[in-house]
Amino acid sequence: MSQIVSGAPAAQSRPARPRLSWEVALRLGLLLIVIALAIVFTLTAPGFLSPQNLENNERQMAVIGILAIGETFVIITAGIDLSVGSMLGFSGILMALALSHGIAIPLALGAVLVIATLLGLFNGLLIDTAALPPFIVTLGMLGILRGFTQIFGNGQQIGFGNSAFTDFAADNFLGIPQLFWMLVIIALLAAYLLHLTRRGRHVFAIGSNLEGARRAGINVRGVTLFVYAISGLLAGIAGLLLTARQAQGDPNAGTGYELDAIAAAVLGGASLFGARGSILGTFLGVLLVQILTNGLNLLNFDPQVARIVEGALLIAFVYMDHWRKRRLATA
Amino acid sequence: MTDRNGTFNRAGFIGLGSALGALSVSGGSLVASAASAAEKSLTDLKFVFIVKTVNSDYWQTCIAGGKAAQAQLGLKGLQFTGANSEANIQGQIALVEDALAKKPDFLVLAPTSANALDATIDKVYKAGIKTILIDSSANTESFDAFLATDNHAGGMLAAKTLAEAIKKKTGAAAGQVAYVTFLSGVGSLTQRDQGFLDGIKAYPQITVVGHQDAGGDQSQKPIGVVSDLLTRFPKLAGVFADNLYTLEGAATAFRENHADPKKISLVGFDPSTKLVADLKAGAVDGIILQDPYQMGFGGVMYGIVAAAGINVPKFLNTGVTAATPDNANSSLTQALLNPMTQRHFGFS
Repeated sequence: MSQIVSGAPAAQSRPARPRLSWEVALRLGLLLIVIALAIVFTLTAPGFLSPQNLENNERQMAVIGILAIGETFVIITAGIDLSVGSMLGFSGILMALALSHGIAIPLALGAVLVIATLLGLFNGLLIDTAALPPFIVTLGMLGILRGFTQIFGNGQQIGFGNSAFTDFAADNFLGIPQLFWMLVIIALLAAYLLHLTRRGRHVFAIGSNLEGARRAGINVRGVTLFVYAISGLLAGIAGLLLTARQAQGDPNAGTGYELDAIAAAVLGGASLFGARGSILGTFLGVLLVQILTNGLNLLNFDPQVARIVEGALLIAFVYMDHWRKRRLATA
Repeated sequence: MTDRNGTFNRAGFIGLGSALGALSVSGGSLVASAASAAEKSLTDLKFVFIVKTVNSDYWQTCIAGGKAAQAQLGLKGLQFTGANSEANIQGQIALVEDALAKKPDFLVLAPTSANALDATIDKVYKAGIKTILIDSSANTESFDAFLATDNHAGGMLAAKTLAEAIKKKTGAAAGQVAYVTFLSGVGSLTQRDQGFLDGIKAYPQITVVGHQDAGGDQSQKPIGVVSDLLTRFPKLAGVFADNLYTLEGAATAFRENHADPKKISLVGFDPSTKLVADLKAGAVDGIILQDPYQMGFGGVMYGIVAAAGINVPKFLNTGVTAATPDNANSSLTQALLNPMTQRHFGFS
């Protein structure tokens, strides 16, 4: 891996042609698998195409989707953010506490998102300035935030009687759940940021070759802070949405979701070695897992089957990726 | 755990608690005839109280029961603690090892695992520390008493409650039902599910058509899997959820799927503030209530008696009660729902 990229430092911010087309092929392949699955389930699974079931799927994928988008930014820099599940729980508990104390929604919402962003920034600061491995920093933060979440929640679920907030998660806009609209809007903004701006290109550059990027004059600290702040902010948003959906803050909410988010991003083509990944891919990754789970449930498969298939798909996708890389390396 | 129903019933147990309470008020010293504790006054007794995790309403209620017993008798509780999650077996083993080092007179423990804790429990018991297990069993005989919900009986009660709710709505105890488990492979949940399946056999016109597993997730997945059950079986007459998180997820799924509460019933284990509101509003038809407060309170009381050298009954079923919209305001239901405020002295 490092041999390939260090051999071509000039091409970092703009991947070479063959790589791009293979990536397109993989995304296209993923899209085809999603479509094929949807067709199979439409034909075999009772109720799969019903409006209510589509709504259920849209609601169900929103939270993990938003987490996975933040994770994608981080993974492309060759980093990882294990704290997103805890950040989700932490934001949710803060929001529930604020609302239960009668604080107005806009104020509570703003404050929680600022805190989540700052905590993300703090992750980035430790990783860049203290030069600590992302895995360790965010693993530490996973524990710290979950601990605070439990303390603030006093180990209990926190209800709040604010129906305006919970209605947001229950209501539809133009026949589509507002939760899903949030995912779509965030995905579009993220895709613009990542794929169409200079900042976005720098995210890829850092993941491709950190030292090279530094020498090329890229503000590595700025970009590192940026991706972890985005991840923190999006985990915060996901936490607010889940809290609204559950109509209560749950100190255990989001436990283990970081792994679901990472799996979705990797299924969507993000490489844990950095420099590769896309918002569309991640979206498709989340969609694939959701459709698969839903379809197998509707077909009355043993609930464990979906987990087995997801795991196998994840390994298969990464294997195809590595197979391609080995071929490039030996060519 | 078929033998849980035996030896000692609820009323008798409460009588024991009252007797001990009276003892503490009148004398302040422990049963004089008990040789092993003759020199020790009641207030000198030390104990450690370890639940699975401190991070839940259920265990907080259990701890509150233990603390009530401690406060009432003026005991030295060394520590009330638990691991950071119900999955953290090693964390709980470490807590028990620490407790052993403190040489308490008795230990009250809710074992996180039926096998992994066995060796540690053996060590405690052999060290002469009276060992009271609560809530969940362990595969060892090294304990003095075991106080727990009979989960199989709880599942059967859930089946009956669900069948009655269906009958009330549709005129007949008939139709399709499904159940959702929080996590496959957990002993207490398996017993509840089996109890439900056994209980539903009494209603030949009810068929269990599907089941789902929330994979141990406490927030999103329960909603998803119950939604999928509702999609898969549009004529579903009832759902049984085997713990708090699946019941909450089911209630949310019913709302999101616009399930008609006049046609479909929902019964499950364990209450929360939100679920009780749902119960009163008719969105939930039954909540199977355990008595974690009694487990905590009774665990400490049994510990005292055992530490005094008196043989205690080995098994106590702390009981299950079905809260329904009809009895939601009864004094028993209220006491079980609000153990912190309604039962200051541990006796309902």
